Amino acid sequence: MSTDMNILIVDDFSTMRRIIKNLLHDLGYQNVSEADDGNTALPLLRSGKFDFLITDWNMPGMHGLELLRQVRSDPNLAKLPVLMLTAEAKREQIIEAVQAGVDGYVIKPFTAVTLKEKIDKILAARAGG
Amino acid sequence: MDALAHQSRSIEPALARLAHAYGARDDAAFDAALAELLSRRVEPGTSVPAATLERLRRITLDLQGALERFSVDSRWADHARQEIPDARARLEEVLRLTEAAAHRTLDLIERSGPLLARAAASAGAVRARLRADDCPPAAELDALLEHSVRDMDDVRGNLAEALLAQEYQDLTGQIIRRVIDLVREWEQGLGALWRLGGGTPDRLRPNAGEDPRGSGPTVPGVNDAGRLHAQRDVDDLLSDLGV
Repeated sequence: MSTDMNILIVDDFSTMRRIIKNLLHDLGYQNVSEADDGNTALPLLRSGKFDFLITDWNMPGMHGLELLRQVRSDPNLAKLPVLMLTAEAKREQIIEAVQAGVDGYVIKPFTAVTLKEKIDKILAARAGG
Repeated sequence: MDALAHQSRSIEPALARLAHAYGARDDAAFDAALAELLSRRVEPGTSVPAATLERLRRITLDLQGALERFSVDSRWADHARQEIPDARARLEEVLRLTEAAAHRTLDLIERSGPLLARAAASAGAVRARLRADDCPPAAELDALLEHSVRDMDDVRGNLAEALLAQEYQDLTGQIIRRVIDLVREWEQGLGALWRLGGGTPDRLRPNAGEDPRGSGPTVPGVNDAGRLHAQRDVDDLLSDLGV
């Protein structure tokens, strides 16, 4: 998948969405949309427009882990690459996210290099798999 | 008379132990015998031991005093009426200030990026032409340098503004300190109330139930147990899990 893929960022803080969006732009990804929690993200994802999901965990409304579960249980979205970008850093939580089918996990605070590495790794695994 | 005779007979062994302990200078035995005798004393007109009634009286007085102190302590009324809503408003203001400062900083960064890109592109183009022995005319060079100087001045101005945007930390720091003081006061008041009800410090510990929404960023000494602190550790765990 190239840099023209459609990415959805889900985070309840508009500043964090903006930071991620800027970093993605710098990495060459121009088609970036935003949602502020799982409830607003899910209808957007079900439109079938998106190729990649980056989501926070701790959000009001539908939290990130539930969004991940909903995505994996939807036959049309089940294979969507999902990167969790969150301050939740408990070992059990990361295991829980992996069990729910997350493709990558980045803890905040994070760097642009880490974000790029994880996106590249997920895309490479998808291309290889 | 019969009742009195019965009561006297029933305390005879304890009286004997008291006398013996006194004679033997045995303080422990003396105290035990005395306590036994006092516990047998029955409040006149009732069948309730006088010691029990005395304890009840003391508890009632303590409770009454505590409740009076609590109800006349206007600080609690102030907390409920004014300070708790104030603390909420203060924290909302912190949220607003930090969000506004972050957006202002992001605006300035986003505005500076294209200016730097344009200056770099112009300089690169001139350099390429110079290397190809195609020196631009002086007027063209002058115009280009003039644009670059203007762009750099704008970027410098943006950086100075971004620096100023960080002043929010001073304001939010002061607001948060006020809220910390209030929370400390509530903690002490609630702790006192809890102890009045027979609670022990151990039982004051919050129930650490897991919230599926998560527990937020790591705060040292609060929720850092069992947390991974570096992305490297997360990567190792993911690798172990086959991700």
